[in-house]
Order: sequence, then C-alpha cells, then structure tokens
Amino acid sequence: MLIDPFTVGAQIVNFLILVGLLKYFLYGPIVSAMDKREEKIRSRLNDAERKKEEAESERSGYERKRKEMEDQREKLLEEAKDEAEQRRKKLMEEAREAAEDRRRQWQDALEREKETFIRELRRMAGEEVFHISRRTFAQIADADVQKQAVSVFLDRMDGLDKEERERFLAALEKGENRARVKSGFDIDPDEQERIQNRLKSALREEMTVSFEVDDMLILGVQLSTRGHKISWNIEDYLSDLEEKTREALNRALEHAGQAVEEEEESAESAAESESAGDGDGKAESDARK
Amino acid sequence: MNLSLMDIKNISPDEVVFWSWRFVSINATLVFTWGVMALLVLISVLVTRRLSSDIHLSRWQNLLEVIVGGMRDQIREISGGQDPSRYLAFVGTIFLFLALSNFLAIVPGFESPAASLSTTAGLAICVFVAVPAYGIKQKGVLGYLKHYIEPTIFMLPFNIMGELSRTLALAVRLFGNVMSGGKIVAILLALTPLFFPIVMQALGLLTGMIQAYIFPVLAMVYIASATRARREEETEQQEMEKSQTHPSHPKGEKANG
Repeated sequence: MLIDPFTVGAQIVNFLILVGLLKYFLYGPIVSAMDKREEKIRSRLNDAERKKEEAESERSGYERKRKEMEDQREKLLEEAKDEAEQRRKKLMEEAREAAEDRRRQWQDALEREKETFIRELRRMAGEEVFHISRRTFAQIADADVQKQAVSVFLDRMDGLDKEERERFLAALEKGENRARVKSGFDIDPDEQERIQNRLKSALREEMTVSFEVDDMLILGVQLSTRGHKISWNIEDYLSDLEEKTREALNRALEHAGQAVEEEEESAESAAESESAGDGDGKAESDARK
Repeated sequence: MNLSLMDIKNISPDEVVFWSWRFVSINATLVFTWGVMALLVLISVLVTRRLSSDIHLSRWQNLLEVIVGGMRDQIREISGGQDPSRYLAFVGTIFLFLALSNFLAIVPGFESPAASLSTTAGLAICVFVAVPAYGIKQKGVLGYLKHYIEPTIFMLPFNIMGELSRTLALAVRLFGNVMSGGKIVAILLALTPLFFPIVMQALGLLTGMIQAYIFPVLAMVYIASATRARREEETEQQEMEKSQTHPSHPKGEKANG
C-alpha cells in the first residue's frame, strides 16, 4: 500500500504546523518590513518632493531678490552716471570759465603791457629823437637850418587850406587877435619881423604876435591862438612815428591773440574769436581808411 | 557504499520505517519532512531576527523578500487581483516546503517527502479542504454551495466528481513526478555510474521545481475559482477604494494581514 494513513495524517498536521510557524516567523515579519519600507520610501519621496518645492520657492524668491538688486544697481549706476555727467559738465564749464578768465586776464595784462610799452617806447623814442635831434642839431644847428625851419613853417602857413584857415581865424577872433609863435630855438628879431609880416599878410593885419621859446618843440615852430594852433615841428613826426609804431604793435598783438584763441578747443569760442577777429579786422580797415 | 536509505525496490520513503508502535510508525518521510520544516523555520528565524525596514538590508533578507514578494505577485495575478495576504501563508508554505524538499533531493541520501504518496495526498487533502473553506469564508455557505449547481443543477454530480478527481490528480501528479525522478536516477546509477546520472539529477531538479510550482499554482487556481463570484464584487469595491485612497496601497491588505 503506497498510502500510509498515519503518515497522511501526520503530514497534514506537519503541514499545518509549518503554515503556522512560517506565518509567524517568515511571512508576517517580512511582509511588515516590506510594507514599512514602502511606507518609509513613500514618506521620503513625499518629503523630498516637499523639500524640492520649498527649495523651488526659495530659489524663485532669491531669483526675485537678485533681480530686484540688479534693477536697483542699474538704477544707482544710471543715477551715478547722470551725476557724473552733470559734474563733468559743471567742471567743464568752470574750466572753460577759468580759461576764459585767464585769457582775459592775460589779454588785459598784455594790453596793459602794450600800453606801458608804447608809453615807454614813445617816451624813449621821443627822448631818443630829442636827444638825437639835439645832438644833431647841436652839431648842425646853425642859422641856416633854423631859418629853413622857419621858412618851412611859413610855407605851411601859406599852404593852409581854406577850412583850416577859417577855423584859425575864428579862434583868432575869440583870442582878441593875439597869437603866439613858439619855437624850439631863439629866433632873431629880424626873423621875427619877417614872420610877423608874413603871418599878418597871410591871416590878418590886426593880429599881434608874441614869440616864445619852448625846448619841447626842438626844431619846430608853432602858431597858437585861443584853442587852436598850427605847427610844423619834429613833434608831429614823432607823433606820426608813435602812431605807426602803435599800429604795428597792435597788429603783432592781434596775431598773438588769434594764435591763443585757436588753441582753445571749443568750436564755439573759436567761432566767436573768428567773428571777433573779423570785427577787429573791419575796425582796423576802417581805421586805415 | 550506498548512501541511500531506500533500495530500488522501495517506491516510497514510507517504506523505510525507523520506529513503530502499533499504528504509529516513524518512517523516512516524516523524518525528512521534519528536517525540511526545521530548516525552513531556522532560516526564517535567523533572517527575520534582524529585519531592517530601512533601504539597506541584508542579502538573506533581500532573498526572502524577493521570494515572498514573488509569491505575493503570483497569487495576486492568479486570483485576479485579490489581496494576496489571506492566501500567502497557505499557498506559499506549500511552495516553500515542496521547493526545498525537491531541491534537497540532490543531496545524497536525502529522499524528498514529496516522493511519498502519503505526503502529496496529505497536501491534496489540505487543498481539498481549503478550497471550500476559502469559498465559504468569502461567499457564505449557500453562496459557495450554489456554484456546484451552476450553470444547471444537472452539473452537480460532475462538479463533485471534478472536485474529487482534481484532488486525486494533484496528489498523484506530484508523487509520480518526484518519485519517478528519484527512481530514474537510482536505475541509471546502476547502469551508467558516471556522468549520465548527473544529467538526469539535473533534470530531476528541474522537474521537482516545476512540480513545486505547479502544485501551489493549481491550489490557488482552485481557491480562486471558488471565490470568483465574490471576487468580481470585491474588485469593484477595491476600485472604489482605490479611487478614494492611494492607488497602489489597497486598504484591505493590512486589515486582513
């Protein structure tokens, strides 16, 4: 018999015991461990998900903050730029003004110096000419030269144009027909007589003429009445020389001034200087006319 | 030297009796069964003593988890999505017992208890009882008995016969396969002592594993068919629960575990 009833029963009992033992020792713990792990993993995943969301929100917060800071920085930079620009303009303006001031001061100084120089030149030239003349005339001044001076003066009197003559006569009228002849040298009485006669014939018979010596006239003769005078003397030539010297000096200074102005960067001031230069030129040409 | 307790004439290990008193006889089947049981319990105790529910776990725990998880998946699949916990202990134990018994058959001197018709009959009787037990537990007595007269009352004798015959088939199929595997090895050992028996032993191991798989699967199929009518309702219920709670964690699993 292949089937033993006792063995069958014993195996059934064995099997049931094994079911109980394995349920207690194997399935229960293993399944609960698996469930716990699953639960743990799920909670971890949830946790991770939550943390990720938190991190995301934090990140976006930081991103926003960063952007705000960027904007602020941009704004500040813009403001600083504006301020710097304004400051630059102001400084530029100040610098330009300072340069202008300096230029003006320099020009003033130059003008003064020019004036001083001219005065000095005039004085020196006068002195020098006077000196030279003196010397020359001291060496060559004899009666002939003096006579020549007188005759030149008298020729001039003859050659007076109508207008001048009228003016002088009017002045003579006011000065009660008294006129005075100044000369840089002594005129001898004969000569005085001759002059007196020539003047009377040239101007008016009623006039009285007095003679006077004035060193300043050097080799000149001057006829003066109240508020008017007609003269021929070295002084005239000296004045002429002085005028010419002044003109030449002006021209030289103008050139120097133009060179200084050209150095300035500003186109505007350059333009101004140009127009000013034009004006000067015009004035100059007017003066020449 | 013959390591085997049985000689070629002994078909069943029942015939090797160590101790006998009246009808009580302690034979090789029972001794080897106890051995397998002891081994299973020992492994379980050793491994589950230090269980970790963390992500890091021991290799042995991992092995058992793979085995238990695989069984749960199989049960769930066969039962059509039912909660595997209520069947795991019964079906799983059949598998583990048979698998270990048939696996140990490669150990010289060991005879698989499944090679005894008494063992397979005992297991078949357990299944024979368990099927209506689960059915009644699920559907009630009347609900379970009703399936014998379906589709018509005329099917009643056939259903009863089917119930009996499939139990007999379970017992004989397992016994026949395991026993024949052992016998073939023994016979071939006498004929060609070298190499060829090893191949046949490997074949016997394969057959034993397949049988260890087939027996619990069939048991589960029978149980599933007995609980089927109930299952369809339950599936609907579970789906409702799923939609209310977490999708991959049905509520019933814990309540019934």
